[in-house]
This record gives sequence, structure tokens and C-alpha cells, in this order.
Amino acid sequence: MLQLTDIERYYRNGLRKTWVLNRVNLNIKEGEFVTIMGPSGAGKSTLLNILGLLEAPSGGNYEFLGERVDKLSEKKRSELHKAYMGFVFQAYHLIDDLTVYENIETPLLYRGIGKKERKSMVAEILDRFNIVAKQDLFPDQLSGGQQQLVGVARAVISKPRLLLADEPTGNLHTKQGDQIMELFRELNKDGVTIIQVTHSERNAAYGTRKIELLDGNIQEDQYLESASAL
Amino acid sequence: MWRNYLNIAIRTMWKNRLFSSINISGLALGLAVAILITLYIRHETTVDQWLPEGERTYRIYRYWADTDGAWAYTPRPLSKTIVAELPEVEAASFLFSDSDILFTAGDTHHYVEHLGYVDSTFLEVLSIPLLYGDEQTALASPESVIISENIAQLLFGTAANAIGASINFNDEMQLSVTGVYANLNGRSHLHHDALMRLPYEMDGWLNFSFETYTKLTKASDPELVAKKIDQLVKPFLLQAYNEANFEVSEDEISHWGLQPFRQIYLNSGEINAITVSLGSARYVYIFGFIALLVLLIAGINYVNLSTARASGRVQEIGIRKVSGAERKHLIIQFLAESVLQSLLALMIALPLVQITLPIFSEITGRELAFMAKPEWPLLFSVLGGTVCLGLLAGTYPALILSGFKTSLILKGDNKTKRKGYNLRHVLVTTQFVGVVVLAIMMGVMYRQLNYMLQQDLGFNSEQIIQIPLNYDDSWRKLEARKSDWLEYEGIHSITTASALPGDRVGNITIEIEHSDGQYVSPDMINVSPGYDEVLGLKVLEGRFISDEHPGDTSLNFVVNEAFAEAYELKKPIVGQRIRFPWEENWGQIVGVVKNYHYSGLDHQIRPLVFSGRANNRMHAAIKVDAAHWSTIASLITQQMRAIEPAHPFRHHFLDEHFAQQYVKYQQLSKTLRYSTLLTIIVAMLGVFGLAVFLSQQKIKEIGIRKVLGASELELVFMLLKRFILIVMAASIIALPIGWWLARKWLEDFAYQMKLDGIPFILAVLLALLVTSLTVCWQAYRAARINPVEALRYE
Ligand SMILES: Nc1ncnc2c1ncn2[C@@H]1O[C@H](COP(=O)(O)OP(=O)(O)OP(=O)(O)O)[C@@H](O)[C@H]1O
Ligand SMILES: [Mg+2]
Repeated sequence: MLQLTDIERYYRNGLRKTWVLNRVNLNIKEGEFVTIMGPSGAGKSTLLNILGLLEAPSGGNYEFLGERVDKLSEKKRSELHKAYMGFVFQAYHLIDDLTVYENIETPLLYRGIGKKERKSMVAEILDRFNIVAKQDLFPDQLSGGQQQLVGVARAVISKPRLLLADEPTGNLHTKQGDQIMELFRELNKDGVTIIQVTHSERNAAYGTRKIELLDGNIQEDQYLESASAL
Repeated sequence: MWRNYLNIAIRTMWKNRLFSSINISGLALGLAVAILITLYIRHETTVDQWLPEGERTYRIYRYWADTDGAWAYTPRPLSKTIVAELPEVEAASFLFSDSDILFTAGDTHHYVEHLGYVDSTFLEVLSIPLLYGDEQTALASPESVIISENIAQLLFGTAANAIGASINFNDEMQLSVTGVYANLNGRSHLHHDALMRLPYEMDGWLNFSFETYTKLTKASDPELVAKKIDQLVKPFLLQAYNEANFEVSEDEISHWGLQPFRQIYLNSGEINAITVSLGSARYVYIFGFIALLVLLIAGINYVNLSTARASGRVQEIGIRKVSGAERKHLIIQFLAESVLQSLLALMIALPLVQITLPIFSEITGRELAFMAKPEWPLLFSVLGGTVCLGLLAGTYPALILSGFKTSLILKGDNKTKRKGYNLRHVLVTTQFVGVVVLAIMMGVMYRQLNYMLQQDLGFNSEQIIQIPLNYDDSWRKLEARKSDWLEYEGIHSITTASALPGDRVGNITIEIEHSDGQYVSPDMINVSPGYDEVLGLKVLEGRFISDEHPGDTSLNFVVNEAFAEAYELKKPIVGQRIRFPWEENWGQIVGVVKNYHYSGLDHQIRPLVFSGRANNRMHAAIKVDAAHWSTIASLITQQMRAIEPAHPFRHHFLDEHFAQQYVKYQQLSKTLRYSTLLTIIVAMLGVFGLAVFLSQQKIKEIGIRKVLGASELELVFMLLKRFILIVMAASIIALPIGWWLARKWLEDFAYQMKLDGIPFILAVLLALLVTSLTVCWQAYRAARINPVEALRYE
């Protein structure tokens, strides 16, 4: 599905350059559930942002679905976002002024989907995530786990083929985290490619592949035997 | 303690440079506009107020119980009579106004624009202080004249030189200067450049060409005096009418009223007068309202930006509270900030006023002065007003900011952010209501003026040269040369007349045959044949006054359509007879001309008669071909020298002369235009500040939405949307207000444009446009933000 070749990312600090990503090569196939791990500051988020086209690499080659995407216009990037990608954040990033329903609906608005269809899509996902009762509440009236459920619901409502999640359970208890991971596994079974960043081995065990990042280099890349080990 | 407050205030301001400068420049502009308007209002309200004992001085007017309006036109004997008969009248005097009179001193010529003829007691009634000369004796001699400082300087170099000097009056008599007074123009509704004794016999009770001013004894009741004048004057008038062969019954005689001198300038809307007052109380209110509005808008900017930024200061406030600050300390601190900002704004506003004052004076047509000499009361009230503005603008934010609960703050509560959110919307909406109303008024005034300037006036005013004549018999000499002049290439037609369009037209009493001795008083213009040709008047029936019919230049008349309509003449109108009541012979109506606007579109077209008699005609008009103008000009100059040797030749272009009467409205329209633009700028400063704030506050949301697939355009629209909604809501409120105000204002005009939707639509579009421009730039910047930056965890 996507292919990174010699991807670099550095920040210029005065005259000095500091590399955050150092010639990263990575190939991810459709249907994989990849977990990126590594110590703080290793460049996990940076890598994920590059994969999600939120950040441009300083060098290297990124092919997404067979197309060069490392130097795209804002408009083209936005189109790829809309067509293929969904994002889940550690801090949920729900819009405070919108209700649960409206938050989930938002991506559909930007995809120009008609009102009726929106309604049924949101209803379906609310049902599937078991949050129908919460649909008229505002984010600050929900617990963290509930907020993240909404965050995931919002990320997947537009049926993305690639779901990117940066420490989706970082602010949650283990139990809440497991719930999200179960959801991810289900989505993955339905064919969604997932790339997540996490510090938790427990979460990594839900995935099919684990990548260790250290100082901007891929240290280890292993396929997990059984996704349902736990 | 105070030093501490000041220090913090300065530091906070510096930290929020952008918002502080928006606040300060908004306040500065607001203050500058308000100060300018205050100067204008001060000027308007001080006109005539300086006259000693003005509080018991009055102008006498006439009115009829059954007709609207009043006329400050009185006969000359009135003043003498009331002084002699009524104990309450301490003094009374008349004033006859003439214009364009040549004064010559040595080799220096000057046409005095406004000349007043008075009697010896004039200065007892209106005690205009003399800079030079003695008030008691200045007008004692019939050859004396008192002149304004301006004329003195023009003729004699300095005012002091003028005393005792002699002036040749219109090549008719020698006058001796016995007094010099400070220029009245701008200080008084009287604008006379010189006052002299009346050199003519004009003693009749029926010659209502004089203004009469009177000073009552202390504590006498003007209404009572007016009643007494009614009683006193009635027999004189009845007798005069009788002698003149008028059949006038007792109830047809006018009543008399006294208008307080100090109200003449601003409150003469209902009173027709010889000296037309430029001032209008209504405009003073309008401009006062604008001044308050622009201050309000500047104040609202302050309130909005301060409360909007409150969230950014929550932490500071929490820490202060925890360290023991009481609420009142915080309130004082926030007020110190707002007062400091408004004082800084004043420091910008004052030089701004100084710089723009000459322009503003020109726009308003008033000679305004600011701090020309130290004016402590004004300075203190401006300072006081500024501090008040600061306090008023600072109070609400101070209450909000100081009222945050410490516990909530330290928990990082979100709701503090929303404080003042709704109020902000209400305030911004209020601003836009003001902006849209002003814009509507601006549009309506502009269009009404254009309507007047572009109206088909019913006559042609282009390529017509108007020559003011100076001697009673000049027109005869000119008429004698008429056939010679017409030989010249480029001269189409010539006429002499008592009035051309734009000149004051007198009215006259006329009797219509077979109307039971009913008298009517149409306007009257004395003309020579050719008047219709020069002005391109349309003769609908019969003919205009013509040389070929001897009766036309003696007995016959031409009337306008309005005459026939108003007095219900049956068709055919030509052939019906009218006459002056004091004459035996009837004259025939020989023609009817199509109505034309001889006194501008702010006046209704009145019934009008033309007479070809050999009466006073002080104007000549020549229709020329512009291509030949330079040769014609030298010819006329030369010929006029023969006709009026003592008078330097002058001429005007009729179209320019006619446009003069719209000057008042043009000034108003311009003043309003600039005030509106400034108000809009101040409002937009606030909108800009809010847009900056909003996009800062929404930065996270923008990032999220971007990741969810929002395009830049969609994000710009999201930020713009709420401002657009506010403008729409404000417009809904502003439209009826604007409509009502526009209707009221248009009532002043006899001929109104059709009040259609265009100024309203344009006003709303203007508000939308400037708002969008102001917000878009900021919104676009925000929409372009990198979402990763926006979403980076704190
Ligand atoms: N704008 C920036 N300028 C300079 N350095 C930056 C910038 N953004 C990120 N970095 C650096 O890049 C490195 C990688 O950051 P990144 O956020 O990708 O780490 P991470 O692996 O996600 O860490 P964590 O587990 O703490 O989230 C860090 O050392 C960080 O300091
Ligand atoms: Mg990270």
C-alpha cells in the first residue's frame, strides 16, 4: 500500500541540522496492522505524520498506492486525506463546541455527502460503537475513554483504507485502552490498514507487525505470529 | 501601589502589542472624530450667543393661524411704532439686506457681498461690540457706515486706519467709517460685512422687506408683547390696505410672533427669513449622534478584545488571587489599563485633530478652531471625557476578569473561556447596526443630492453668463444695446430680469378677475423679452413677454402652470385678466410657461407671474456659445464699463450660481460621508482584532478540521461565517431604522428621489464587503496553518 524509501526528516537549528528520521525504509501492505514503538523522542510521531501526509519529509521518496506523494500540493494532499485516511489522536482532539453527533458527522460534511446518507452513516457508527445515548452530549461531558471512542468513530466514519493513530490509548486506563484496541482489531479484520504508535506492549500485541524506532532508525521490524494471542 | 498598577498596565500592554495597538488606534480615531464633531457642535451652538443681552432680544415674524410656517418679513414702520407705544419694548430696529454693492476707497474697489441698511438705533438693539468707534454715536449720521474687520482690511489695510476714512457707496454717495466690528460671518446668523443708514425712502406698511429686531425690558413676557403687537399694528395695516385699494378683512391680517435671538441660527426651520440661517438643530443632533456612535464603537472594541482575551489572562489572575489580591485590587488594575490606553489614544488623537482640522473646516464650511489659544475648559473636558471613556470601556472587562473563581482557574476550567461570548456578539451586532445605519444615510443623502443636481430643472442653465447689475437704470442701458450685442457671433440671446434661477424671488399681491376680490400672492419676476429664450423655457400656451406686443411690456403677464393650478384658473388661461390691487387697469395673461425649478429642488414650485414692466432688474443673462466666450468676454467687459463706469465687471456662470443653493446639503453629505468612513474604519479595527483573536482561539479546531479533510476555503468560510451572520442580523435591525431616518431627512426636500432599495442593499453589501476583507486575510492565514503545529500537545 505504501512504500518509504530513504525518508529523512531533520530540523535546522541555527547552522546545525538535527535528524529526527534517518533514511527510513518501510513497506506496508494493505491489511496490515502495524505498531510503531520506541522511546520518547525517537521520531514515532514524526514518522506517523509523514505517513499521514501531515508533514513533508526533508528528503527521500514516499509512494502511496503507487504514486509519489512526498511533494504534493495542499489541495492534492487534502484529497488523499479525504479519500483514504483517518486519524486518531492521543488527546482525542474533538471539537469542543460540537456535540458527539456533530463531531462524528464533520468528516462527512467535508466529503460532500448528502444529509440523509450522513444521518444513516452516523447512526450506524453510533450504534456499532455503542454510544447512541451520548450523541447529544458535548465532549467535556464525556469520560476520556468515551471521548476516544468518539475520536475513533469520527476517524472511521468515512471508511478510510488507512487508519493512523498516535498513542490512541495514551490517556486511558488499561480497560478503556483494551476496548479501543478491540475496535481496531475488528476494523483491521474488515480490511482497514492500521498504523499506530504506542508505548504499550499490550497494545502492540493486537497488531500483526511491530516496528521499533530508535533515534530515527528502524531498529527492529517483526511480524507477529498470532494477532489474537492475548 | 499606583506605580505598581501603572507598571503592570504598561507591561501587559506591551506583551499584547497587537491587541493594544488595535485598541489604542480605535480609541484614537474615535476620539479624534468625536473631538472634531464636538468642535463643530460647539461652533454651531455658540453662534449668536455672544450678543450682549441676547436673552431678551427677539426677531419679529408674521404668521397666519391657518397656514404653516412663518415669515420674518416685516414693514419698516413696525419698529418705530412698537418702541413708541409699548412700554415693554426697550428698543427696536429694522434691517434691510442688500447684496453685491460696490464700495470704493481711493483706488480700491470691493463688492460688499452682504450689506445691511439700518437706522440709528440699530446698535441699541443688537449691541454688536465695535473694535474701533463708539457704539453710541456710530450710526448717528446718515452718512455713517460701520464695517467688518475684513472689509476694513481689504479697503484700508488695517482696521485702525479705517476709522474716519471715507468710502464711496455704489458710486452714489460718500460714507464715513465710524466703526469697525469683528467679522460676523460664522459667529452670527447675520453675515453683513457693512451696516449703514438706509439711504432710501421705503416707509410703507405694506412693504414687508425688512427684518425687525427688538429688545424687551427685563422680565417682560414675549408672548404677551406679541399679542400687544397684534392689537397695535392691526389698525395701521388695515388702513394701509384700504389706501392701497386692497379689500382685506380683519381676520386676513397676519399675527405677530417673537423669535428669541439666540435660537435664530439653529431653530429657524419653520421661519422663512431674508437672512437664511445655515445652521440647523437637526444636524447638530445628527452629528452629536455620530460622535457618540463612534465613541461607542471604539469603546465596544475595547470591551470585546479585553473580554475575548480574558482566557489568556486567567492564569495571571489566578496567581494574583492566590497571592492575596482582593477583587478590588484587580478591578483597579484593569481599570488602570483601560484608562492608560485611552489616555495614550488621546495623545494620538490631539495631533490628529490638529492635522485634520483644516480639512474638516472646509468640508463642513465652518471656520473651526482648536487650541488656537489655550482653552482650558475644552482641554479639561476632553481629558475628562477620555478618562470616562476609559473607565466605561474598562468596567465590564474588569468585572469579568476579576470575577473568575480561583478554584476553577486552577483546575483549568474551560468555561472561563466562554465568558462574555454572548455579550460580545450583542456588542459587535450593535456596532454593525450603527455602521449600516450610517452607510444607509450616506447613500440616501448622496443619491438625493445627485437627484437634485441631475434633475431636469425645466430650464437650461448651461452656457449662460450672468451679470449682476449695480445701478437701478443699468438694465435700461443694457437693453438699449441689446440689438448691437446680438450681432456678435456666439451671443444667442440676452435678457435682463429681477431674478434668475437661484436668486431670491419676491412675491407680490395679485387680484384675479371674477374671483370675488380674492387676493393671491404668487412669486413675481420682472423680465425683458428674451428671458424664455435665454433659459430655454417652454411656453405651453400663448406667448412669452414679447417686444412685438406693446401691452406685454406694460400691463400683460405670463404665468406658470402652478399659477393656473393653484388659483384654479379655467382653460383657456390665456386671455384671463389679473391686476395689482392698487391699480385700475386689468392686465391680460398672454402666456403660460411650463413649470421650472427656479429656486432649486428643496423648494416647491410656487405660482409665478412674469411681468414685462419697467421695474427694477438687477440681473442680466446672456446665452452664449462657449467656443466664442473669450471674445465675448472682452466685448462685454468693455461695454459694461460704458454702462457702469465705476464698477469693475463681474460675471458668473448660471449653472455654478444655481448649484450654490445646494452647498448646505453638499457640506452635510460630505461631512457625513467622512464620518461614516471613519466610523467604519474604527469598527473594522475591532472586527480585525476579533478575527485575530478568534483564529488564535480556534487554532486547534482548525487543525482538527484540516486533518478531517477541510479545505482552506472551507476553513476561511467557517471563520468568516459568524461575522457574516452578525452583519446580517445587524442589517435586519438597521434597515428599518435607516429607512425611518431617511424618510425623515427627505421630508426637508420638496422634490424627493424615490426611496428605493438601492442605498439599503449597497449599505449591507458594503458592510459585508469590508467585513469579509478584514476577516478574510486573517482567516486565510489561520487556515493555512500546519495542522501538526496546531495539534502539538501542550
Ligand atoms: N519543530 C521542531 N523543531 C525542532 N525539533 C523538533 C520539532 N518537532 C519535533 N522535534 C524533535 O523531533 C524529535 C522527535 O519528535 P517526535 O514527536 O517524533 O518524538 P516521539 O517519538 O513521538 O516522542 P514521544 O513518545 O514523546 O511522543 C524530538 O527530539 C523533538 O524534540
Ligand atoms: Mg509522539
